[in-house]
Amino acid sequence: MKNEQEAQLRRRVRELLNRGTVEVLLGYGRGLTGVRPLFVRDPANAEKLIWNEHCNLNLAGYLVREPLKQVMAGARIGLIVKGCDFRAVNVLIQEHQVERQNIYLIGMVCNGIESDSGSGILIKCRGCNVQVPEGTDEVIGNPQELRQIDGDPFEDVRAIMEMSLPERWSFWTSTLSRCIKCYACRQACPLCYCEECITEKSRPQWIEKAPTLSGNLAYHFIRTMHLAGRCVACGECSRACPVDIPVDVLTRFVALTIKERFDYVAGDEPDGKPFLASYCEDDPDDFIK
Amino acid sequence: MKQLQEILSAIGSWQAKGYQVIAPVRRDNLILLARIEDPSLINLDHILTVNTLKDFMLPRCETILRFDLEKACVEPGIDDSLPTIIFGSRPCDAAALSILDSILIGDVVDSRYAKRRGQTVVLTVACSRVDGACFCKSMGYGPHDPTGSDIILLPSQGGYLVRLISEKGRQFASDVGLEPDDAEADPEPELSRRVSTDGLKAWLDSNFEDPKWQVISENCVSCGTCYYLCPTCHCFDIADEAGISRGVRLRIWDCCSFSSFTKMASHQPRVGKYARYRQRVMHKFKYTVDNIGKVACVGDGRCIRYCPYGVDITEILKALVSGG
Repeated sequence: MKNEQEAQLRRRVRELLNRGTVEVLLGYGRGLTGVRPLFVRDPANAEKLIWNEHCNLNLAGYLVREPLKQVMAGARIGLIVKGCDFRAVNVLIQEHQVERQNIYLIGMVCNGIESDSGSGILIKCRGCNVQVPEGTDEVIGNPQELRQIDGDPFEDVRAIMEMSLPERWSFWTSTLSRCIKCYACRQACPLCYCEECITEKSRPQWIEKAPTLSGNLAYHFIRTMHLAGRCVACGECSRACPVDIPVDVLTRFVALTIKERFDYVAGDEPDGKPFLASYCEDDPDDFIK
Repeated sequence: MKQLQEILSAIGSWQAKGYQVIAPVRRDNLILLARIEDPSLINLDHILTVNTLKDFMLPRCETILRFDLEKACVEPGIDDSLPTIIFGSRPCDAAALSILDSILIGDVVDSRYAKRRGQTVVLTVACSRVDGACFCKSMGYGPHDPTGSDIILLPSQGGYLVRLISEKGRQFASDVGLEPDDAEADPEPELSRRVSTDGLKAWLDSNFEDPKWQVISENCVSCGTCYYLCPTCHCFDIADEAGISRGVRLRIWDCCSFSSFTKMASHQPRVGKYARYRQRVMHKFKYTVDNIGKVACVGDGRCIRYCPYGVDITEILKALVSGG
C-alpha cells in the first residue's frame, strides 16, 4: 500500500526547508535495527524521512540536547511528533526549557505503534486520545482512516502492583541488580535534562555511584520521584535500556497514581501548569492524617 | 568431532576440580554471560551475549580497599579471583581480551586484572551464525578466529572440533582430558557488514578539528551503552563510599561520553557532545594504535545493536575518511 502520509511529510519538509521556515528538522529515518532519528538540513534529504507504525521514538529529548539546543538559540527548528510525544514538548515548554515559537511542530496522525517484537500495538498506545495531535503547527495524515485503540495503557504497571510485597521486592531487586548504570534511561528521557544529575555530584556525593543493588535502587528511585507529575509515559527509558529493565513501570506508576488521584496527565495542555506547581481547592487530601 | 552434549557433560568435572565456569545463560529475554552452577542451563543459541568478558576480568564495580578512621586502618579489598573457565563466549570477545591484555598488562600492570587473567582459561565456541551488526572481519578477526582464545571449538557438521591454541589451553586440555581434533571445520559464515580502515589512522592523525565530528555525533545522546557493552572500553572511576568513619574505595566503570568524566582530575576537558564522541573514536582507532599497535575494536557490533538512537560506528568510520 502506498504510504501517502509519508509522501506528504517529505513534501512538506522539503517546502519548509526551502522556504527557510526551519533551519533543521528532526524526524525519523532508517537504521540497522529499525527506526532512528534523522536530522534534515538539505531539502533533498527530506526523501530519507520515514513514517510508519514503527516510529516509536519520542524525539522531544533532542530539544534540550546538542545540537538542537544551540540551533534554537538563533533559529527555528522543525520536529516531528506524535500526539503522545507532543506531551513531552509541552512539559518542556511549561518548565521553560524551550520556547514554543522556536519550534515548528509537525503532528502525525497515528494509528498506534507496533512493537518491534511482533506482539501487536504497544501498551502505551492503548486508550490513546491524541491520535490526531492538536495544537501542533500542522497535522499530516487523514483522521478519517483512524481506528480506535482500546485497552488499558497501564496493564503492565497494574500487573506488577498486584504482586505481593515480597514478590514485588524480589522482582525489582532481581531486575535492578542487572543495571550497569550506563544512564541510557536518563539520557533517553526527554524530561531528564538536568545539567548535572544528582547521581554525578561528588562534592558531596549524595548517592552511591556503584552499580550495586543499593546504588541502583537509589538511582532509579530518585529518578522516579524526580519525574513525578512530569513523566509522559513515552517509554523511551525502557526502550533504551540495554539490559531490558522495565524502568518506565516505575515512573508510569507515579503517573498513574497522579491521574487517578488528581485527574492530571503531564503535558496534556500546552498552556497548563506543571503538576507540582498547581493547586486546586478540591484536591483530595485523604492521605494527610 | 564432539557433540555439544559430550562437552557440556564434562563441565561438571571441571567445576569439581575447583574451576568456576562462566557461560551464556538465559535471563528473562536476555542471553548473558554469568557464573553457572548447572551446566544444563548453558545456552549457545545466540549470536552474542549482551555483556562481555570484561565483566569478569575488569568488573563493573570492585573494592580496592576498606578504611576505618576510628581504628586508623586501611585494608586491601578482598581478592575473590578464582580459577575460571570461560565457556561459550565468541571469538570477538576473546580477541578483545588480547587487546585489554596489551593495555592492562603492559608497561604498567593492573594487578587485579592480571591476576584474574592469569587464572582464566578462555574456551571459545566459534560462530555458526552472524548478524547484520557483526563486522569482525573488517577489524582483522573473524567468526572462527582464535586470537585471545586458549581453546576454540569450531563448528563442524552439527558438532564441534577442539583446537588447542595456547600453552594454557594445552595444559587445561590435558588436565581434563579434552582431546584436540584436526578435521576440517565448516566454512566461516559470511559477513554482510564491511568497513575499510584504509586511510583512517592517517585521517585521524591530522583531523582532530573537523566539522564532520559534529555531524557524525548528532544522534548520540551521551549515554554509556556503547561503552559499557564494548568488550575493549576499559576506563574507570575511583569513588569513595563512606559513612562517618568507615568506608570503601571502589573502582567503577566510567565512560568518556559522560559530562562528569575525568572531573576527579579537575574538570571534563571535552565540552560538547561531539568532542566526547570524538574521544571514543580517537581512543579506539588512533591512541590505542599509537600505544600498542592495534585498534581497540573487534567488530563485535554491540555498539550498533544496542545504541538506542542508531549510532553506527562503521557508517561513521566511512563518513570520516570519505571525501577528505
